[in-house]
Amino acid sequence: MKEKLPKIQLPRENNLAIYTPRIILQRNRQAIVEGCERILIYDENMIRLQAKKQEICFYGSGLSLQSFQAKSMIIAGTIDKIEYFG
Amino acid sequence: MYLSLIRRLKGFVDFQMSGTGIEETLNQTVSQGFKIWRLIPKGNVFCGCISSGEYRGFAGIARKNGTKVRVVKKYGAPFYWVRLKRRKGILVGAGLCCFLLLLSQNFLWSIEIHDYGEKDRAFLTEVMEDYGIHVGAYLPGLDCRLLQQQILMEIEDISWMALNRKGTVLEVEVSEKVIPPEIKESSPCNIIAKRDGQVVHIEVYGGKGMVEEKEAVSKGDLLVSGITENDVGIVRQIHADAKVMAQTHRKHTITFDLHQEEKIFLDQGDTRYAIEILGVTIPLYVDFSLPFPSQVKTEETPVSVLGNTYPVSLVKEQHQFYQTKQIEYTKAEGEALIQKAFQVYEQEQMKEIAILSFEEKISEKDGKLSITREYLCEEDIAAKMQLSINETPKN
Repeated sequence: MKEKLPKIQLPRENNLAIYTPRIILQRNRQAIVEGCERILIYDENMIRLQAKKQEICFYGSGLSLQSFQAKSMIIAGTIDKIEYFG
Repeated sequence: MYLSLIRRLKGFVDFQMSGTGIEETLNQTVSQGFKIWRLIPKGNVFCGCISSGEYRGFAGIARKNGTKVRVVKKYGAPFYWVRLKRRKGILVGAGLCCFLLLLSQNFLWSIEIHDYGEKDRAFLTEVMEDYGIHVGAYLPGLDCRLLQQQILMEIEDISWMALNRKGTVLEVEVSEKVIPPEIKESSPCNIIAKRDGQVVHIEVYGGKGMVEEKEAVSKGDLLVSGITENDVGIVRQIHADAKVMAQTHRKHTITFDLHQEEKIFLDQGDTRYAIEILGVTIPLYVDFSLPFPSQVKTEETPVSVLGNTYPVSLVKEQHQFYQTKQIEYTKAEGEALIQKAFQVYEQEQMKEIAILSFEEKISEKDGKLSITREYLCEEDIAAKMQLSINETPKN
């Protein structure tokens, strides 16, 4: 009879990324943001995002969303400052 | 780049949104699994892009949140398709183009002949045409194996040939017949008669004479044998050599039409162009009539792009106009002309033959004058024929 092998629990890195916001910056021109749930405020000088436990705010000029999908977005423009709240 | 291509294939719209609850609309849209890209705020207005299939859902969400949304521009294949649907000519043209392209695969586009002389190539092309192999021929109807055998039998200069189909191109591989080298002075051979005749004089330089003077011989008869036997009975094969002079009979007829039509070429001419597609000639002129009868010289330039030959060629027809003049020759004039032709024939074809006498027969039928000369000649009828040596192993 074949023996049933024990299940191996692999670390689910992607899920981790969803619940904890991850920001990848390319100079101050582009930011890839993962793990954010909502946009709270959006204009060309400020984008405020809601993560699971925190709020993240991008300040700058000419800000725009290059791509906006569930839990992932690309912010383009000149990013001057990133602030965390909570 | 691929993403852009996929978006174009699926179709997308440029939208503009304004009013209240823009952020909420965006959040709800994305939570539905829709994707928005190139979202740029311009004052109170937001411009962005969304897939054409997702736009309806997005507009519904916007309406619920009190956001005004309008489509600015539509991009991609589905919108082109809608536009194309109205323009049936383009659709029909594209369909026809595809159909013709598929259809053209059933016809021979070009023939490539490898390793064959330019002069013989024209003859080979002519023979192939007789067997139905020409540009524009229906490919499923060509049985290459059978045709190559038939052509091989037709042309004596070819020892081997292969017809290889590569798509719509027919590659013709030819191997010319190698003419056997002349018999060496040392190799054993016999002397045979190359014509019927009566031996007048025989001079044997090597071998054993098999005929005597005044003896009648037929073509192929052995005159001098290359197999000799010495006094002690040893058989040797030697190179036979001899001069065998014989009286032979030859016959030659020259016919001349007493009603001749002479062409007088004029200084006038005309050049016309045509396009040949798959063997079908499409003239590039409207007026088909010519003021005079003409002699046509045709130049064909096949269309070749990056070394590939296509079944399209530009045909240049050069017409040289002429007028015909009827000339009636008398019998005496005809005879004189035939006599001149006989002189040329004798000088060129019978220069190594001594003409002893000849008899002439003159006949006239349907306005054609014929003179037949029966010659009594004296010539060397010796022809060397190599001996095939088959050695049997000694036990």
